[in-house]
Amino acid sequence: MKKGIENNSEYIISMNGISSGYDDKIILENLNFNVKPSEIITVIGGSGSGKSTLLKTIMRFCRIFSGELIIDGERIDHLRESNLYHVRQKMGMVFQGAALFDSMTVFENVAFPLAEKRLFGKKEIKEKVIQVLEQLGMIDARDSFPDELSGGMQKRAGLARALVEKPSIILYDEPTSGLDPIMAGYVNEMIYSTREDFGVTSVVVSHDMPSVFAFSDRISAIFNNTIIQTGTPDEIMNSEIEEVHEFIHSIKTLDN
Amino acid sequence: MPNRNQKIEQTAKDIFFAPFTITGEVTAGFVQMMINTFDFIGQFILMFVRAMIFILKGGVRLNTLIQQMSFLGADSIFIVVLCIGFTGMTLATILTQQIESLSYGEELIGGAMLWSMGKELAPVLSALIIAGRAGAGIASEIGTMKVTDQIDALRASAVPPIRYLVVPRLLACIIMVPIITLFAAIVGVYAGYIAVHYISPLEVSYMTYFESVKNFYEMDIARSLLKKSLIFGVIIAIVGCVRGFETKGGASGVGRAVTSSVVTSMILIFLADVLITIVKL
Repeated sequence: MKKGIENNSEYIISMNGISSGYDDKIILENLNFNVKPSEIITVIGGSGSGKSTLLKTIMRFCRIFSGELIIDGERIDHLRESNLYHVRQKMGMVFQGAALFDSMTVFENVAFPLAEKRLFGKKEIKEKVIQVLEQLGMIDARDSFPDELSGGMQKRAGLARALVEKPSIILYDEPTSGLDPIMAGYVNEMIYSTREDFGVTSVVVSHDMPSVFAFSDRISAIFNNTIIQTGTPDEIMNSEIEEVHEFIHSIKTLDN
Repeated sequence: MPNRNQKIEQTAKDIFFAPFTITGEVTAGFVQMMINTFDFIGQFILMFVRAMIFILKGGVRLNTLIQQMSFLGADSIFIVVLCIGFTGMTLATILTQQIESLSYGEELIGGAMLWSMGKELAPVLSALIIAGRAGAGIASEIGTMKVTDQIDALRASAVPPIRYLVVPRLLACIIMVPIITLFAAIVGVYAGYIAVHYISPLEVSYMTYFESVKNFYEMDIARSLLKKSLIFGVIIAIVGCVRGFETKGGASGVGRAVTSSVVTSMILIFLADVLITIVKL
């Protein structure tokens, strides 16, 4: 085993020496990132450092130039698009802008992954969708279209769509960006309770530092297109790595 | 600050090297254009093949197909019929003007209208109008989905975007473009009759006009119309989808995708028209 590469067996997501990007442009370079089952791991870092690309690499939405990506024990970095769908069924993603299908109502959006796969009957799909909408307090908005919803409601609908298939991994791309503090608190609470209720593994990209330190089991700091430190909130808070220390304490100063 | 002599020297150099600079830029532009063209051809073929594989595997959702057929077909038919109707009237009027000056050939007008409408005008004009309306719609819808992460959301839901977005649009075009074209050709021929009977001083009779249509009718006209419109339908759908999937850079990117979709479709329709006619595909 190469130096610096951890044993994969205990991890549900394992990225070893990954370089990835879009078209011919490399965004992430030689990145190592490992996530244990049912943990909440948050990725922090400056704008343009590659946080969203990290999530998209896990979903295999972008090109992997080198390295090894293992999801739930299966190596997927070399798989073709047509062979990736069974792996993606284990994952859900909440997009930064929610990415709801704008021609569908909230109910149809949430029902979409189930309806398209034709694994359940109409009645069963309806039950599942109503259950998840009720859990997220979205039942009254079931017939609304995305453009009729607030940013927070859209994010909740996006989360409902990600949750409806009961994935074992959920990736959150800046779930609280653009939300007011009350709504942001609500979304953060939702991320935490999703793990508590469903036992899902959560990878969260966030700039909301107080929440990051409150609910994360571990935090990864990404700078200059690679992860430079991963540790518990305490370890990150007391980091001796200059970039991490500076990033955390500049945000703390701003918050104060 | 450069002095006067240095400025003169620089200008002389610029003038001396200008032909080389221009030649280099033109060559680089041409090479880039060729790369883009080959890249597009590759994507076009790949998307068509992938969509056909899904179709053959039975990956067609009837409700989305009907939705697309309604959008591409029913919503386009009025504008296509209107434009082809006007073109039919114009063409018939020009023909009668010629015949009036020659003082013979009244019995050829119906046949000439049938040939020109069925073999060329209806397929090409219908395809151009549908490319401008439905093709642009396909590119803008998919392009907007791309820039708002909805395509990635499809993939995250383990739904192949080609099956969900391309297959129904391709099938809808394959079914609806020939139907609209056939309808447009019939309207074009009838519009020609209206022009030569009611507007033209020749007042060609119903019998003369449609007897001519009947005499000149060949199976080859219907075959040519269906063949061309089918191929044009594939072009409109796939070009719209390829340009939509290529979209980058927000609202302006969607605008570029739409423009590019219409321009590319038009060029390919004319190119395919020439090839089908010359090669007699």
